[in-house]
Amino acid sequence: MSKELVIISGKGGTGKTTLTSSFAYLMKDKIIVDADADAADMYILMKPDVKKKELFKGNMPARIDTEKCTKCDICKQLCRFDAISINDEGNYVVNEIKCDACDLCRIACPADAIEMVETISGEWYESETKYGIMVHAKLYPGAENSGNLVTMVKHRAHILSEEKNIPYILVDGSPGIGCPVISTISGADFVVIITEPTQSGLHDLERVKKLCDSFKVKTGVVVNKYDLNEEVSNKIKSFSEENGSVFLGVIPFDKSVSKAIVNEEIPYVACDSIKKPIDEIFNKAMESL
Amino acid sequence: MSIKEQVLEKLKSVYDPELKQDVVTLKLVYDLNVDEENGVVGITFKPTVENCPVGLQLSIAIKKAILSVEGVKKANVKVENFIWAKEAEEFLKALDND
Amino acid sequence: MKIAVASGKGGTGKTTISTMLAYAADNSQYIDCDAEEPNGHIFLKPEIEKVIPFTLPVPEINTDICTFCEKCSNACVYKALVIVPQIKKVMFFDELCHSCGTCSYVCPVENALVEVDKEIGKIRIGKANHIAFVEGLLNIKEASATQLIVNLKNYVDNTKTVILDSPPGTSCTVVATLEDSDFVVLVTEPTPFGLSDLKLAVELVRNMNIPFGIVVNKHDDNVDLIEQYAKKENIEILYRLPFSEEFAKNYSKGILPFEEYKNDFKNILKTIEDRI
Repeated sequence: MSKELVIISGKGGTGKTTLTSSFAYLMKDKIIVDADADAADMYILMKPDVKKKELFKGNMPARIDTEKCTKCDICKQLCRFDAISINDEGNYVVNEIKCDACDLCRIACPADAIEMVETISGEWYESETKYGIMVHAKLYPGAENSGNLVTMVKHRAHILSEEKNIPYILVDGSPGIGCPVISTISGADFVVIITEPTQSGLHDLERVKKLCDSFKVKTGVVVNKYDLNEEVSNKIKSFSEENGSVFLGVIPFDKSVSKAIVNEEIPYVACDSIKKPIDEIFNKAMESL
Repeated sequence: MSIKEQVLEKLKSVYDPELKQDVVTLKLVYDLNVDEENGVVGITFKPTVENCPVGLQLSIAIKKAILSVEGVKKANVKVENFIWAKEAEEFLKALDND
Repeated sequence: MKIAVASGKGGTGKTTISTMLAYAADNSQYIDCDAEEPNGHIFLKPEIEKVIPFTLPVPEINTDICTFCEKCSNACVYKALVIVPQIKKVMFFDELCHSCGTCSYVCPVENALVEVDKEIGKIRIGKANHIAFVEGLLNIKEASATQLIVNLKNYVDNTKTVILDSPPGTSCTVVATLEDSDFVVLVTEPTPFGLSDLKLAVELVRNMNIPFGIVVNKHDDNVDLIEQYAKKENIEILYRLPFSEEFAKNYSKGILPFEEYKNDFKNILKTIEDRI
């Protein structure tokens, strides 16, 4: 069974993809997974050569056949997602974005005028990169933020790792604590939470750490751009150690990091000031895996 | 068609509700072995995620699918790498006295 | 006037821009719809007057009355209910339940399955000097904030300038926030990540056909990634907030230069008013 190292952030924009791309550079035998399907950015630094592309079936929203519909209003009353309305022509219609595909209206419709319709909510890809095989996905704008697409890309990575005997899986997760994050941390062997030394960073770290604890997943904490506020950075350090998390280390603020990203280079490769700190963080993370 | 082929065919209709693909395509089931004479089928099922309760429903659906094949008398479904494995075992055993 | 502040990428400065817009408006209401990681309170420092639990109905099965007919578990598309008649066993997994009510609808036996309220999150209401403050907070382990956000909209006060701080990304929680707003401000940063996710957000807002504009945060004069894109797509750039370490240092302490930028942000609000 391959070992899964996941990197998440709680708060967005703390440098998660910068750290994951650095790990992708340092880690030898692994499969890279970009599970941030909602705002996938790893492809910019990994520059994948897509070998396989598959559509992902998402929710199956309801659709009302206006001929059969007798306008009895039962579906509209029962729908708890406010997804059924009456349009200008007086016909009952379903808002496919709001519809949660729960099937209740179809079951309840006395005229059998409703069917559930297959939709495609995104795509996922298997690709080759200079740093190893990569599995990533793209959720279409407006699609449900299903953790299902995350589960699919992680599952594909596990299948590939068994087929090709690759011992590690490196996962770039999404911000927040909702179902994509729950799917990302489920089954992880170690979760690295990268945050920034700000009140928002500390607040979001506490929440995403509680989520990891509830799933009994081992966590490690990294503070990026720590010298923007050393006081909060130390607070994060003590919070981590007091709550059973491995404090992996700090990365200094360096303008050349964003310059490297603008040039689509992996910051670890382009900026010397962060090499040593990231090496230490990487080794400590691998030990905890 | 041998029992084994029929079982595989039937399992193609058992869908993972989250990934919307069948358990065979998704490679969630493996080590399928069939004793054709006595109609005894053995298979291992590994859910996509170790802590997702959907695996419970799937393990039941897999066993029911196998039992629905002509000539199958006994179906042993082993559930691996799953925090609800105990419950799954209990439920699957219950299906035997059907 | 309802203005939603969104962004494809997380961490571009949505909360910074939305709190500064709320401060600049005379009669304003700030609603934090980023219920997974709400941070507006850190900068606005509101006095909380009310905390309202947000609940959704989930099934509870009385196994003395239940006949184990499996109608509810078969009807449940989320597989949150497992019924094993042979051993009269019922299991319910609330983390999979979407509170859709199908199980209680199909259950043929009176009172075998009743719906009880389960707390999904909290809604905090208060005041931050002249700003009316509303915040949604999703409980840990809950999968989706969408229903909580839809409920937050009931607290919209249409007599005010309402600023909705959206979650990052472009999925259904964002759609729920953007729904029937008059204008969307898309906050981005001048990096390839910022641009890549901005394109997704632009596609979403256009699908929802809501007028919108861009605010470039951490603006850098010699990086014109966003400028070129905006020109090509003829999208208006409402404001450029230059990057400064001093700003970042204060931000890290939970301090934003509300007064200093008040006029600039008043002008942004005026521009938006003309666009609606």
